[in-house]
Amino acid sequence: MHARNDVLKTSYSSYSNNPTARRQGDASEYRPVEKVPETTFPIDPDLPCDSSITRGAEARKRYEPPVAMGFLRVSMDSIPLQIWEGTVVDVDHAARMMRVLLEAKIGEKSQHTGEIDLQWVSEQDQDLVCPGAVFYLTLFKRTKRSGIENAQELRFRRRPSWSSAQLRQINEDAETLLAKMAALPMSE
Amino acid sequence: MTYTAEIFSSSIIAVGDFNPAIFSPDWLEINNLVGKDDADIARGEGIGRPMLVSHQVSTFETEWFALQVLENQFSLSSKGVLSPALQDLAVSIFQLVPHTPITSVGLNFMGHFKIASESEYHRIGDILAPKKIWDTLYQDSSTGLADLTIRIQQGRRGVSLEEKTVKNISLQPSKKIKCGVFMSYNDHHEMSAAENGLRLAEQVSNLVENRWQLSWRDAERVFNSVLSLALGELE
Repeated sequence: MHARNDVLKTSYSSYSNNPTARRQGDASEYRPVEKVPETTFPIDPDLPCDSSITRGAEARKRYEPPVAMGFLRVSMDSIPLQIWEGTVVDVDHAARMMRVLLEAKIGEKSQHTGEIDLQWVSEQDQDLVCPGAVFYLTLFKRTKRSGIENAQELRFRRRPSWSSAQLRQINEDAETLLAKMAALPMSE
Repeated sequence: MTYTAEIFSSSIIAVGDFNPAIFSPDWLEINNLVGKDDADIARGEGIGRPMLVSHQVSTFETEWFALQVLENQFSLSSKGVLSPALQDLAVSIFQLVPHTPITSVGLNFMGHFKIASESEYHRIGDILAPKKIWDTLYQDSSTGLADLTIRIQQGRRGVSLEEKTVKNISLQPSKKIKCGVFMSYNDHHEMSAAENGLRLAEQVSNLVENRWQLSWRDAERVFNSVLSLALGELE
């Protein structure tokens, strides 16, 4: 038998004592907790995180953040029926239409093209509509108290600029590739 | 028979030392990770729950995700329908905080399944957690499965077990569906010191980028197989 330990910290909430609420995300409440450092939050003066704390200094009281006794109350009511990852091929602003390449994420289905009216793109994503942009088109079933409904969602992909590590990796790859290239033959 | 969840969601949870005050709707908007409409909702200017951003805790939500960051835990959860946009958001956030010392990350998937009948519903619990011992101890009482977690590690018990990558599969009665089963899948990864020149948060970013959709597919496979096997539909 395996004992449960800190591994569960990355599972769906680890704060509630109620296992059902802990995973299924109900009963969200916050309770401020005051902790005294000597017993619950040992301060190691060797750590360079706070230059004001010295070995002889008296540990001050520290107010810990409110502890989420349950997880965030997140509404879970949907199941995706199909997700397409789409790439914008070109945009016809006059006709308010974009031509796209769609690749199904669920099941084995061949890639196909389509046209999507720009009215389906949310206002905040309109400036992202350009050739090469990636979006997700999701058809889903939503369970409500009044019944079940089918709906769709179109959301454009947002990524930050390339990180320094990515740029470093790209430079290294480029240098490796360049080193493998033979010199062009000299013309006579 | 293939069992498909009635409700399905995901949560990406990282453990480490965080500075919650960084994680605000404004910060996400400035870095172009959410649009203006989402940021407005997160700021509480729409239907969202009022946000809280402080040095100790940051929590807010939009129509499609909820973010909660404590000093020792980062949680990004889907709302509404799950899509790879959640993965993109997590990957991007971790890219933007490359120096954050993250010790572990969990890719979590949760599903609520409707079971055809009450007898099948109880059969699943009885197969996965036999009641013989408990019925002996409490002869005049009813015993039932409330929470079951199975841990899966690579390797062999007592010889060598892979500690850094663990899966925890849990099963409970569903709180949302009558005669329903709730299952959760936790794909847990312990992070080690910088590898290939990548800092910990960058490693986490790559892990989420490379593993999240694989874990999603595996979670669906596991959920379906557990129910099918428990009900004797698979050999």
